[in-house]
Amino acid sequence: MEEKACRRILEVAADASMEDITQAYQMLKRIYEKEESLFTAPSMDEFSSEAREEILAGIEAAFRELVRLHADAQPRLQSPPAAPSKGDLPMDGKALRRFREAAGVPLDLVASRTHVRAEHLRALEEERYWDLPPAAVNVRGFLAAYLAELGLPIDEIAAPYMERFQAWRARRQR
Amino acid sequence: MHIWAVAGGKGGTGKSLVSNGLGMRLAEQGHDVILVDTDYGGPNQHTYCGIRKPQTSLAQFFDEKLPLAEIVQHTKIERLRLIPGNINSHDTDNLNTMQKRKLFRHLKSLRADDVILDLGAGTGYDTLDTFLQADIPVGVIAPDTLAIENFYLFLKNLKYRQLGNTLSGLGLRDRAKDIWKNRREYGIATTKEFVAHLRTLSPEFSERFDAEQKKLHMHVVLNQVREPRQAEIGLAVKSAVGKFFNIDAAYAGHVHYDKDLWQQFGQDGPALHRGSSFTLRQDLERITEGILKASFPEAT
Repeated sequence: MEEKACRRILEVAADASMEDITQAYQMLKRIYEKEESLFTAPSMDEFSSEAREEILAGIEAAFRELVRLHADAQPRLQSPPAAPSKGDLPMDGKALRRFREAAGVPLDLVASRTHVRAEHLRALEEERYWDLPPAAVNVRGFLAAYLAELGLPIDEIAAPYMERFQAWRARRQR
Repeated sequence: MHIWAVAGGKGGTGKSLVSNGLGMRLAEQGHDVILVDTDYGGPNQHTYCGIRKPQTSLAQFFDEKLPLAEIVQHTKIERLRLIPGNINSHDTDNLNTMQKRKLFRHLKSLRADDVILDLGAGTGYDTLDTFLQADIPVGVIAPDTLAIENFYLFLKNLKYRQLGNTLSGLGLRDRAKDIWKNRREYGIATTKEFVAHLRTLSPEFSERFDAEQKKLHMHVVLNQVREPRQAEIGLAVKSAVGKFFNIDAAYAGHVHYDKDLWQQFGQDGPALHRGSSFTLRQDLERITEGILKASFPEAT
């Protein structure tokens, strides 16, 4: 499918960002996934479940294609980052940032590939816990996506990181 | 000159309100605007404009053959003029097709930047044809199942009408009718299959029908929004117009419900005058901008 056709299906402008596209995709899924939505007219042939499924499949395919095209358009890594040696683990935010920069991976690239906003990723690297979502499960999710994207071991790094996050939260609540 | 057509299927969704708001905003921006009350069965554009007793009306065009230029009235808004509906006629809603077509032809020769037609409810041929021929077609819906269902019926009829008009233009109407009547013999069950059959019959039809379909486009306005969560309904309907009916649509935005609007009528002056219904006017301004900004690369 051509990019133009994909954008048409997702009803976004030619200059829409990946974030806009993701939002549009999520809204369309919300609209078309439920059969009993308010805006449909079940009495009409046009709104058959086959038609709806066809539309959903189109939306899914268009989104996947746009994500792929977007990833292809990003600057490629010259060589994959070398895995950190055992002695470097665990890594704190500062170490993660050093590792990412040494590998030549811009933060925006991680953001677009993980769908985590760049501000959140920056807060993760700088361990500014107060700029992160309050729920630990979200922070852990962001961190895991970030680590997976950089090819880093998730458990070894995330466990001590989350301990620091929880300790900060406990201190703050006292 | 641009001809705007405001329609939407169900009555009471706010076609007159939106027409009026469009007219006010365009006039404010310096356009010469003429509002035309073509809601034959329920004219009240004059009341929106604050004209208690219109001196002229469309009845004079239909009955006395008076030229439109002599029927156009000034309103209290600068650059906004009005052709009132045929209020004092005995037979308001039973004009024949010839008369309505004649009106559309004459409207084209009016001197104005924008002519806004406030179409009535329903899916009559003339309403559909006017909507199909307008430069700027606007569909007005309300966030309830009844209005939305009727809107889709309007769209469905619009598509059938377009199909019928294309067939008539090629002298294929009777033949097509015959095929539809005997569709079982042809193994046709749906409209889609019917069109596919007609395509194999005449490549000329196929070409012309595609061209006509491409031209079809519209702006969608959601009126009477009472709760924030209703706003997404407008986007959902706009999306469905494109995906289920294959009509290129742009979402112009929503208009909040104004519980005090009723008090603005019957007074001396326009209902949407300065100092009243601030939110409503702001919404209608936003909608006008939205429509003017929208583009349909496929349709042009």
